[in-house]
Amino acid sequence: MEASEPIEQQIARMNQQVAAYQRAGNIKEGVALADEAFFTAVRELPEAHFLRAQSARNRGIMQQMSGNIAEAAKTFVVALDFYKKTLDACAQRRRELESSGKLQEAMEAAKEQTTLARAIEQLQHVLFGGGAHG
Amino acid sequence: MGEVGQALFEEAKLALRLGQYREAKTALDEAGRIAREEFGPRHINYASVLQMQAKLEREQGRPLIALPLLQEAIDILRNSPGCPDFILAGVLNNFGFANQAVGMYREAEKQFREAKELLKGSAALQSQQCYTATLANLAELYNEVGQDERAEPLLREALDVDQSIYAPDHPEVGTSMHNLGLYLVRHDRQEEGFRLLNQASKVVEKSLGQQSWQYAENLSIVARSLREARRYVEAETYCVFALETLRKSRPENSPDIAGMLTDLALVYACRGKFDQAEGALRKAVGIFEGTLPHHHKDAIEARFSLFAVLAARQKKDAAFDVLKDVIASKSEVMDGILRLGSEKERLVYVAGLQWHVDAALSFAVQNRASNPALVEWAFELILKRRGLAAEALSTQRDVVRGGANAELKDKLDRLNSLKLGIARQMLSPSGNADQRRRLETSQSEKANLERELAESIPEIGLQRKLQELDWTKIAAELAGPAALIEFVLYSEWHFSAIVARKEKLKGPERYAVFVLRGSEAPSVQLIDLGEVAAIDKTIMDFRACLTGGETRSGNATRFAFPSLTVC
Repeated sequence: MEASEPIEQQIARMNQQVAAYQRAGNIKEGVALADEAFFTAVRELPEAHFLRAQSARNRGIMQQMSGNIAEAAKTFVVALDFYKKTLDACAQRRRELESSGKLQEAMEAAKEQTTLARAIEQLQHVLFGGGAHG
Repeated sequence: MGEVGQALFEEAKLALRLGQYREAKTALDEAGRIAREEFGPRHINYASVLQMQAKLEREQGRPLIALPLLQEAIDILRNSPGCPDFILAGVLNNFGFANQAVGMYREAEKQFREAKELLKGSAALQSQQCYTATLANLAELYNEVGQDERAEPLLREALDVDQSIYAPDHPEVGTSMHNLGLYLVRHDRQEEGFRLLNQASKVVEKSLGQQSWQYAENLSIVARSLREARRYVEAETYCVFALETLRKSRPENSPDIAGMLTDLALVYACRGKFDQAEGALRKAVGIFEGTLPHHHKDAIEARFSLFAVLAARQKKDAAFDVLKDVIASKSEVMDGILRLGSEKERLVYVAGLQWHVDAALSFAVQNRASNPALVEWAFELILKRRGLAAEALSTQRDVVRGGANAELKDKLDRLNSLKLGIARQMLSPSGNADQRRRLETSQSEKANLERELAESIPEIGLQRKLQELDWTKIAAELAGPAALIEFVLYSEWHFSAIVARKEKLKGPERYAVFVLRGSEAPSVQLIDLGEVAAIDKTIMDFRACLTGGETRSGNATRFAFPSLTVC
């Protein structure tokens, strides 16, 4: 990790690395790095930041893969909460951009909103089974 | 709607506003599927998606596809207890727009008026917003049908309402100011009109900033008004500024950018900068081609402007190619209109094509010597157009009389009886209020019946029949030395006129004649006869000479035609 690297980039890079560990089946390394990314994100990033939600979800996935189902479930609940806050903030940002006439930026926010909504739907499916749509 | 459905719906709305139609369609299709699954096909959320799908179709120039979607949405909302008035009114406004787009003005007016009545007097902000938008829509409709005097009070009321519910610098106030300002400029009250337009731009600039699309749109309205007021230098400045501003909020390939480029090109053309006009129009046509259907109104108008500019630049072959394409697209749209409209509405639409035909005939007359194919094409165009007008009036009756749709006979009989009644009422010497009311009722029933008949008769496949029209087949029907003479009256276009120097783009009216010869060497000739006024006067003198009446000119011997130029 480079000392001068902004915290957001550090966490985003760690999350990418976690995903790579997950694909490669390196569970132990993945769990350790997911923990680090998650706790750094919770400590350093504001409440509705997308990377907080993503780090929580990654940690939940790694915990689940390592067989720690109880910890995974707890982390998924936290991730769901983070995603909902991020979604609300994103929707609010989109509305503000829209009403100020910045439609292209608003469109980007709208796409992000859809991505977040899909992630929430997926998490709800993992936690509560099919049919949960918030 | 759930989170995903709602997010997709918002994404689609924005994509639609940005002119990103493919993205809008993808998002709406999924949002519609989710809404149906989650809430069922009679739910208000599903109606919202249907409305948005209709808007997407209408904006892409497919109002005929939008109409049934809107009908379905309205049916759902009318049967949804507790549906807020402003939601139903919003769909009625969209329904009105779609009907207006296909020339069904009476229906459009009915829908706008219903929306207005639903919302009138409501204290809720959303209802008031929808109310002022409805007033503006109704005003725009009246403008389009030539009842301009009914538009102004509506626009003034919209501004009053907006000023009473919003802060003075709110963008909605700016929009209402713009609508009224535009109306006044177009009706020769330029001082008040431009004052309002400038004031409105300042309001929008202050509230939304110079980066906003609303600001760009307002600038473009000012630019258009300046062009209409023949203030071309200022119009060009505004157009360029509006385009630059629009580029800050729109992608380069959006239809709004193409629309602005078309406006700029028109100003260039008015100032005689035909090369710059051609460049802007080619770009606009390219953008429309990539984003809108080929027969979309805006796309056709941009291509028509390109044709006129190419003609001005003497690029005759390229101009002819574009002209053929424009007329073919217009005919395609017409087929749909004729299937739906009442007789009067269809004829209004056919009449609206006249200026394209005028331009085509002018181009043919001016270039007939160098391109015989142009004359043949123009002759077929005239025959098709004559066919359209006749078809607009008679096809359905012919079909029913022929027995192909005998079950429609009752409706046809009723239609004929109404027509007879209307004719009698119109010829009646009295004309009191009761009689006028009866006449209006009969006319309204007649228009509805005609629409029903047009929808029910599949044989009105006008497009197919007219596409098969070929001048050589008609020539083959002519026996021996016989010739078919087809007179046409057209307003002459001067493509290279520099309007900014007060050179006339159109006029005066002229007569021309097509001469179709059959026999062994079939041919079509186009002969320019001269100005209408002079010929009409000569004919009147000639008739007076024959009948022994007084002549208008007082000179009974002046009946000779101007010399003919045969090519």
